[in-house]
Amino acid sequence: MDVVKAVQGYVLKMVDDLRGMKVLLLDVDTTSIVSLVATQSQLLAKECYLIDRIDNKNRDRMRHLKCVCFLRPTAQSIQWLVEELRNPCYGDYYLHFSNTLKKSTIERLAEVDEHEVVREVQEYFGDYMAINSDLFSLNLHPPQYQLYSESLATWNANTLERTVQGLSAALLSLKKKPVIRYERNSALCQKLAAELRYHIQQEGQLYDFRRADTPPILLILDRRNDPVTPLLTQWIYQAMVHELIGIHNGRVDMSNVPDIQSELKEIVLSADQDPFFKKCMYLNLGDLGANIKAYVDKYQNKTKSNMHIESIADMKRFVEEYPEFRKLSGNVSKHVAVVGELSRKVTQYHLLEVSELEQSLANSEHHGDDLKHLQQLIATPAVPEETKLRLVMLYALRYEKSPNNATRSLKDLLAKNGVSDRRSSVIDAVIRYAGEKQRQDDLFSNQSFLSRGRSALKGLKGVENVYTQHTPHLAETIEQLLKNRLRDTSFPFIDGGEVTREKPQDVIIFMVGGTTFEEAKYIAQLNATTPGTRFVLGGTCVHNSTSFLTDVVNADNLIRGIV
Amino acid sequence: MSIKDRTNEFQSAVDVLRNRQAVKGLDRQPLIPASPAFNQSGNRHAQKTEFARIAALIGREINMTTSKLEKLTKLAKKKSLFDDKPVEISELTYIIKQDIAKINKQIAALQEYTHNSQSKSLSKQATEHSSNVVLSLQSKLANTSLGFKDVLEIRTQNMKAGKERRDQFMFANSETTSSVGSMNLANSPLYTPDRKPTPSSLYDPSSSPANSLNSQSSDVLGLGIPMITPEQQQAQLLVAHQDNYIESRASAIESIETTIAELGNIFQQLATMVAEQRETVQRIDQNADDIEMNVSGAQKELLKYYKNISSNRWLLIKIFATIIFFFLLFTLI
Repeated sequence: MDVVKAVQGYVLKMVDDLRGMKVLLLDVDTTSIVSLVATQSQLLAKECYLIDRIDNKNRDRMRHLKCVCFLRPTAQSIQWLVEELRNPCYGDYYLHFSNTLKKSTIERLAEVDEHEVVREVQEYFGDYMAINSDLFSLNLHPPQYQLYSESLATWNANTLERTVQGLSAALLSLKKKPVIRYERNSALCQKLAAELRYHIQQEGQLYDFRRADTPPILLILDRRNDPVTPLLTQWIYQAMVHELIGIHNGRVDMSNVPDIQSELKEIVLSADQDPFFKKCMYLNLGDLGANIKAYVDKYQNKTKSNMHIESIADMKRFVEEYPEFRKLSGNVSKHVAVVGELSRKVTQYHLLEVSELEQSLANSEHHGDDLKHLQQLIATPAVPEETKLRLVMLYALRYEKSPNNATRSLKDLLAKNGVSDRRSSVIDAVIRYAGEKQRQDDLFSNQSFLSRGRSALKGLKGVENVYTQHTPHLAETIEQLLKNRLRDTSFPFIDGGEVTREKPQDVIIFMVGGTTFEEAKYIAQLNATTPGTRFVLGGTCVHNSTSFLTDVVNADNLIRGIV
Repeated sequence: MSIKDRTNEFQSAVDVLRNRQAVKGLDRQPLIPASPAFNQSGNRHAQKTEFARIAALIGREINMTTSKLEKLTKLAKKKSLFDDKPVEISELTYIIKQDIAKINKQIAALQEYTHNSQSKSLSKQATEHSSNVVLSLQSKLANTSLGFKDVLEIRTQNMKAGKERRDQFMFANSETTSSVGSMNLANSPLYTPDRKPTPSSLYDPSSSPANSLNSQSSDVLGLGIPMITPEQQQAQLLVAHQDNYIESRASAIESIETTIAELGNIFQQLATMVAEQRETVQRIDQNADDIEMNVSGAQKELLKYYKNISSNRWLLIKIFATIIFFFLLFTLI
């Protein structure tokens, strides 16, 4: 149940199976898939001396090289491959596809293989981005992949196909044939579940794994049931970097950071290759600061010891350790730069105050205090517009049904502080997208007497950290699942599938509409604390607040366009 | 990590394509040399079709002959004496004979035809093909004629058998008719006892005197002698017939006797078998009785055990209750 290992296994097997010098040929989709799990040096170690894109037309002819192709079987890349085979640049071709091939495609490839260069055709089901060992994403972002087509209840056909392919590839690479559960109120989840079920039935022989004692569970959830999590300011290292700077395919674009060194313009954050990041990715900013300090101290010690070069032995030691030292220094400067940027943004945007209010809005019911605080923050000019909007959105979601809802006056206040109407319309969009009526569960636990009492009890316990007291809605669902109390009425099994009552061993959660790093952190914690049960979280993409709001606005435009 | 290897599928697709191309190439070849060759090829086609037409015709005829032969076989295998259709059989035989002869002639003609066309420089494969066709037709014909021969043999055997049987019947018939005659003769008291012995006893001793009488009075009795001699001959014949008949009766009776004896043996064997069966049945009966007894005994034992257990259960419940009581006492206080 480690998605990174799974995809890595595929990639390394691909280049390892073939002896001798070779070229790795990728397409648009697989480039990001491979780059997330393998480094250039890893591939070089397997005698893979050239990595190129199949849509690059200016490749040299090197008939002495063998070519390993790893492609998604999309119409586009098949077309590229057809052209490549018509006029081959390399000696032998070993074709690997990241998903199931149609029979007609194979025939088409056979037809154009006039030079008889194709040696192998294989399907390696690495058709998703493995971000962390327990987090994968399909990177479906608009405008290429719109989630909805006509209303919030219908999939965009293209996106649905890609999602089914990606999810089935994830299942195949993890060797799971799951029972599927979905959120009842979400038509999207139901449709996806049904499609997947159909796919599993169609490809029955592929899913013919050794049966586990308890069948794994695939839980399909909808982002719209929890609009709060992506709106909050994050304090976990990985989530924070994504929220404030943005992580795309494991790369962080630092070019907007003032006074940055040229070599740090674009950095890579990968838990697989960076032990320090692996250690700290789920720590909050405070703990991270302490860790960074220790790291820097270690670096300082190394530098000092490198200073003393008095004997030949010292010199030898220095030369031996120098590459390691360089690596360490690079890593230290990278993380220091990132953390420096993060803390700069925190102070610049008053994120501590903002986050305090956000957590209060997300977790507890103090209407008067929250409103006052909110008005105060809106009046503060240093807080950026997006943050103000987010706060108002959280307020609107939290007190949507409250009798003294003051969203209207807050909007006026926003207008007074220079936020245009067009921008503040996103507040209504969120309500329409994921308001009370659209949600299935009691997200804020303020709907029934019992849940109010429970949240009051929680409040009595006190909190460790004001800024990270919010737990995603996913946590509640998973808890119920672990206790076997997840109701069949709200999370039904897909028709025609088997029904299980046992405590699950493997749980794959898939979030339609995108997941977040906060949820990923929760899942990672859960993996560490619950022995016997393993979790993997996936999503159509990984959201930060910006991308989530873009999605919301997109969806809203779509609905209103129809209406 | 699951991987699906579809290289084989790909290779099979390549093979299919290659085959398809190869076929296309063959088709194209005759088209490449243009119109002049086309005529020739058309001619060749016509030849081929002529040959094929004749061969097909012969094949069809052979088939028809075979079906006729089957009909004949069916007729010939009928063993009944009365439903014999000799006319039809002979007709069919004649037809088949003619057919076979005709087909043979046709095949010969076909062979000649192929020889002629061979000289016209047909391709090697084509000549081989035509000779193969001729050979196969010939072998088919040979098979058919062999079958015909077999059928004829069967027919003759059947005829022989029928004749024998009929002979038997005929013999018996003649016997019966003669016996009826002789019986009539024998039974009629007027005829047999008086007439038969009388001529012998009366005439024999008196024959010489009669002869002498005849010789003596040849004019009177000369008419009588020719009258007596045929009668005597007939009587002698009759006696011989009677002897034959009696012998055959005796043998028939003997055979019946032996059959009855055999039957008696069989019945005896059956009787001993039945006696054995009775023994077994008796044993089964006994065993069933035993089983019934055992089952009732077991039931009694079970009931006893049940009573035992139910008394124990009360004890167990009591013990359990006390344990629970103490447990609650210790845990709650």
